Amino acid sequence: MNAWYIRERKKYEKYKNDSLAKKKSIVSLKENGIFVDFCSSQNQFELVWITPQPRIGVIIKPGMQATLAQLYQYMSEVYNYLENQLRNYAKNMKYFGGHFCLHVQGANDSTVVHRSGRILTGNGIPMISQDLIGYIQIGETDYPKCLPRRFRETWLNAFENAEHFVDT
Amino acid sequence: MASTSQHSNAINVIAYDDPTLPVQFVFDTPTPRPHFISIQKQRQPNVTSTELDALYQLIGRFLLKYPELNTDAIFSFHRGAWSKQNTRTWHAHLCVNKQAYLRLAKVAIKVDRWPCFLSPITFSFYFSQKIFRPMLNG
Repeated sequence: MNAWYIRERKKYEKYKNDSLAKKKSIVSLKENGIFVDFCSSQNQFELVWITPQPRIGVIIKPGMQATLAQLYQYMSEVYNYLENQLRNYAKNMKYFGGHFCLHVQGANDSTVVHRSGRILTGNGIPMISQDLIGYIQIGETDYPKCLPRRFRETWLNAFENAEHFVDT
Repeated sequence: MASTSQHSNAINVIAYDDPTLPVQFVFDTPTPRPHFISIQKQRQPNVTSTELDALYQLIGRFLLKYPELNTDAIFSFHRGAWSKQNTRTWHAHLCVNKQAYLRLAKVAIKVDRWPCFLSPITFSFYFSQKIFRPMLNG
């Protein structure tokens, strides 16, 4: 298992460096407005930008309840929407993929599980959210393309200074 | 690391089973890492929403039974280019704490559970992956 970790660490280090090599061009890409529609949609979930990992976080609105099945369904909708948006935005996109990651715990019911995590807020300053119930992990170069333009440089700088490893 | 044939021919070492549910958890014996694989008892290329509902119940019960795994566990479904599966049937991953995983794997994955033609190869494979070395040292 250690050999696997060493190999994976090298792989993600390379992905990270490949992504950072394109930093300037990604920062200057035009705004795409991904998720404006989703964030205003009427349901119990909301999307947030996680930092420093390339993860789109899902939080649950205050006072709302949801099951893991509903969270999975929501992530499927987000993912399909995101793939279409990115394909329109970056015509040359060949590979797109992600991991739907749901926070889980021992329980007799299947309700979502709250955990804390660092997210980017309206003004780009990171804050800790206590309401993350899961996230969609996507590619190192896809994520900053999805980000609102004002967040891109902040996120890329944070990403550069963090260890990048995907263990899901 | 492991070829397709190794995956499809691998013997499932069950990590958690509930006879009332159509899904179960097995150890990832072909590619050891700190996660459990959820599979259907009747393996299919796709998963139904009924099976997913059963899966969420299974996760809850599994993690209740093993409190040491019940910290920051993440259930992960792969999508798109990231879903390059080594098997043609549906599966997903329950990612858990590495130390707790190794303690459980040590008890569950015993060499004598493997058919004799497989065991020396399997054991040397795991040994080369250093899965047992931390245990031997510790």
